[in-house]
Amino acid sequence: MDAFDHLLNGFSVATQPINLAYVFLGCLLGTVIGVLPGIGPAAAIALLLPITYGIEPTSSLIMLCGIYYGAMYGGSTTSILINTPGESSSVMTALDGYAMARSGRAGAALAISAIASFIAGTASVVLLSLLAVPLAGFALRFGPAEYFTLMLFAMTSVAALTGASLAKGLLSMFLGLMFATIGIDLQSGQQRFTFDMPELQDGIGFIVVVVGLFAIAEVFIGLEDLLKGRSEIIRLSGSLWLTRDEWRRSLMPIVRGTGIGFFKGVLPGAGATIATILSYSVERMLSRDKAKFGTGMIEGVAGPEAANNASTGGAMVPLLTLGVPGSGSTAVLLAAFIMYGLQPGPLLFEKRPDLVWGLIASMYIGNLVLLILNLPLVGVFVRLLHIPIGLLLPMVVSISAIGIFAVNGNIFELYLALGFGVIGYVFRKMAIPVAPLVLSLVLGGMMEQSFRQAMTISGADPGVFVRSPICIALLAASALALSIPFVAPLLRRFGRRTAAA
Amino acid sequence: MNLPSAPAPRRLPAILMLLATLATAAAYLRATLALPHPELADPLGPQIFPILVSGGLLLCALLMVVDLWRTGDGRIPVLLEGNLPFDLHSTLMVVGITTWTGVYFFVFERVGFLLSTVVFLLGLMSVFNAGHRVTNLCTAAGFTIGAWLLFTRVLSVRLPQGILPF
Amino acid sequence: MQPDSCMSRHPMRAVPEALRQVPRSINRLAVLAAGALLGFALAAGPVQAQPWKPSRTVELVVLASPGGGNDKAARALQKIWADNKIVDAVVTNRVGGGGTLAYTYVSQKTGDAHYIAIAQAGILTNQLAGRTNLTYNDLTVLPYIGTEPVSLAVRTESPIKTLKDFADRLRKDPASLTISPGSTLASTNHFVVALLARAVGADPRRLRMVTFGGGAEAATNVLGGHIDAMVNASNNAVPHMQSGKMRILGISSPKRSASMPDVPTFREMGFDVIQDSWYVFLGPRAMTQPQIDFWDDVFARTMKTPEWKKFVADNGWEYGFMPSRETAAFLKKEHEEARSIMSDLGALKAGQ
Repeated sequence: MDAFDHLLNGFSVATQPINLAYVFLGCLLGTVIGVLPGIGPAAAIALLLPITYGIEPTSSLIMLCGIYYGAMYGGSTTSILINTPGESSSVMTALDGYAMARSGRAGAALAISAIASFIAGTASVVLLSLLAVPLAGFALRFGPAEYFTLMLFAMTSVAALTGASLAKGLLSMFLGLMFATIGIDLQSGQQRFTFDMPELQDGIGFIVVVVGLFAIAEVFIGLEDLLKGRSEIIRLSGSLWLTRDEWRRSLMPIVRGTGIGFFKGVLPGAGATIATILSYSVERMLSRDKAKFGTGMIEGVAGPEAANNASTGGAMVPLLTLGVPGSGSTAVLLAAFIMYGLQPGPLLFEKRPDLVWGLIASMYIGNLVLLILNLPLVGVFVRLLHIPIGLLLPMVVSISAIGIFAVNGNIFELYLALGFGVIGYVFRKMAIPVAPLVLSLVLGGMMEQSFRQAMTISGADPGVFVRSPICIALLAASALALSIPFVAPLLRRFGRRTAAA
Repeated sequence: MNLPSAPAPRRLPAILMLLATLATAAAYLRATLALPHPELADPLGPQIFPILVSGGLLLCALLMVVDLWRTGDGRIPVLLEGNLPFDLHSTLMVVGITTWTGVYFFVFERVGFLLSTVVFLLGLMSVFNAGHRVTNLCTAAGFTIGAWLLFTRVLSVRLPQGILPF
Repeated sequence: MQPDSCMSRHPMRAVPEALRQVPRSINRLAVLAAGALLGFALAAGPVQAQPWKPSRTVELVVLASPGGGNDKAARALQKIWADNKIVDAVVTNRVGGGGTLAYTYVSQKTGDAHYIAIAQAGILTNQLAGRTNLTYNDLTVLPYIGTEPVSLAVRTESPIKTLKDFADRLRKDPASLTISPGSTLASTNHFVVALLARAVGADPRRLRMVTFGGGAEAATNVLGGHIDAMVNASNNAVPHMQSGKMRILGISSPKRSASMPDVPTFREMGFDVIQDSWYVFLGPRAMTQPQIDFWDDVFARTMKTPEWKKFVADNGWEYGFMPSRETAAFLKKEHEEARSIMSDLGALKAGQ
């Protein structure tokens, strides 16, 4: 049987009324909990895992995947409406999505995010159905050396996120790298910069930093504006729906984002996050109004949103074919599989094709359900912005507290988030971008560790970084990315001269 | 926005930022060099990366000096572009909210989610949404109870119970 | 016994369950009373205290995030206890400091047996490595509930065919192989290789250990040929062995495992290495004997349920149970061994 027959059988499993109900329920619960700042997809799946106790494994996994998708989508909603990403892969969405909301285009931002997610999600499931088996080996070719070069490449894109002042962008990035070194060092087992506090031994969590720098800082700024009487009520300009121009501008970013997302998603590690950064920088590079990025460009929402959701399909490839989780979320899904006595891997395709293909088919349905569920909700969510700021912002603090506490049960993390809130407020006042800090916090730890892993394996021989074609390609790409700001003006001048001649 | 004609950003905060960056880099480097040398470790050890990062922070400080002299399109130093002024009133407000939120987090587990959240919300709302006493009370209580029911009953997520018997 | 809100993991069942609990606890009381009387008769001790039972929902404290490591075991226990009406419990995650936060949290509930924590070897090694001052003596030791076999695995293409090949390589040059112990140095996984090196007369400090984010990541790197071998809980390797991608050279358990009957033990192959990845429970300090008896009874009964046996089989655990007293002696012995190996590895904090 080829993939197509398998898929048809899968649909017969997924379209059983009970499974349809579970897909719907999963998407709904995932969206509800994913909307909370501080709870990303991984935490959402983990927290809702007990609900699936007692359900038959296929249905239960179908529901968990629905939660995964729903939470991914919910995270984008908070990024756009209150500038609070739920996980590192929706940081990029916040940059232009929130700016769009501030200028009255929240409806359009939410709509394009739903549509981009649907298109990219569906396309990535198609790619998953077709390429799962051939791509299985790809993830394995990434060892520590390849990872280091990949992280280096991603960091060059992060560095490009700086605003007018390079100094401020780099400051944000290096502070992120600094915070990434706090905690027990994996390679030596030694504590670094923990001040003997057990709370810091596992490092500073991404969620804590994001809630602080984004959500709590936003509360400070919002309340300050309110106190000074210059809080503008965000008026919706135009319809909730996309304009023809916005459609036209979003289409290609979605297509490119889908491709980038799927193939980066296949890589274990920070696939989804790197995909969104890459998609954003590609769109900015290709755009004629580079300077306008960060001020509400729909391309900057459509591309990363597509990349983010396409990576979910990609992340399923190593999970289903190798039993290797590609992200925090799929790691929790793997735990759920094992809890039901199922071990993902090639054997699962042979032993339980009904389950695997039923799951894949349910992803098609899940994407559709999310679109149907979320487009009407755009109107509801947008209305959240009509709640008086003095009421809304205190509730944001409280919801953030729930989100952080529910996962690790650690009050210290709440204090940390508050501290990062103050830092975020100062950053806003000083016009220092926060995205580089958050992204380098996520990528920096992996960058250091993979460098040292590679050096341990090679016996401290740096030649290991140019030994595989993947490494060389990634190093070349990093060099290219760094040189573009210098080379591009030269090329443009050259182009103008030839055109004139 | 009809701002009361925003004053041009001043240099002092930027200079303080520069000094803070230098101080952070120095403190971080010092802490890195003070790390003990573990017997059990990889060939590179835990210090090299932090040393590079402190170097990066110093580089940032250097670039800030440059950006403080260099003027951009706005005819003000690049380092000051987009900066917003600090003022005593707002700073006090941020300190106030931070303290109030800190107290909230402190009692979050001890007193429990329900009581602490209602009081926390009412406190902030009565300052920032003053004059709507009934609305504030209803929103604070409604939100807290709603969130409590949603999490503990529907989503099976545990929230601190505290001193209340339920 | 009140219908506590903490029971709300299964909200619909909360009230009826509390009602149904009354006759059950009387029943249990009777059993315990009988046990206590018997104990009294045998020990002829002075005054036998009243049997203890929880007066509210018990908190089962886990050191991992939801969905991770021992969280699974805790949630399985919680479900078994709820389904069989043994104890009302909720699982709380206290993540941080390699378990230190969870253990500290429980240790601070002095004398309150409503708080118990699931613990692994970190309770010993964290203190020996100087990451915390908390030791198992600051808590009350409760039963041992089982162990996961630790396996040494290479990928199928590897020239290393047997444990003997592996040991020969170590003997010639301990730095010639790259090995991952999962995510932590000086962990029980690391001990397995260190003990093997010691057994063949190689210097354990020269071993080239590479840590990754966890067992799954280590497995990816073995499969991709980036490192030579990994040593970690068997469930990381067994599925890959079944799909023909990995070879398990041996397990460091005292006897073969039911989940992989063809894999030899280290001892069978002539290397005296025994090192398991065990799970025990700990309670706060100053628990009374009746409280300890209560938990001994609960775990003894839980271990007999078919659901627990299924959990053990599904997760590749080895079935095992020891009551509190034996567990305390077991921990003491493990502590001594860990100290000795960590001293060999140079991972022991000065003065420990």
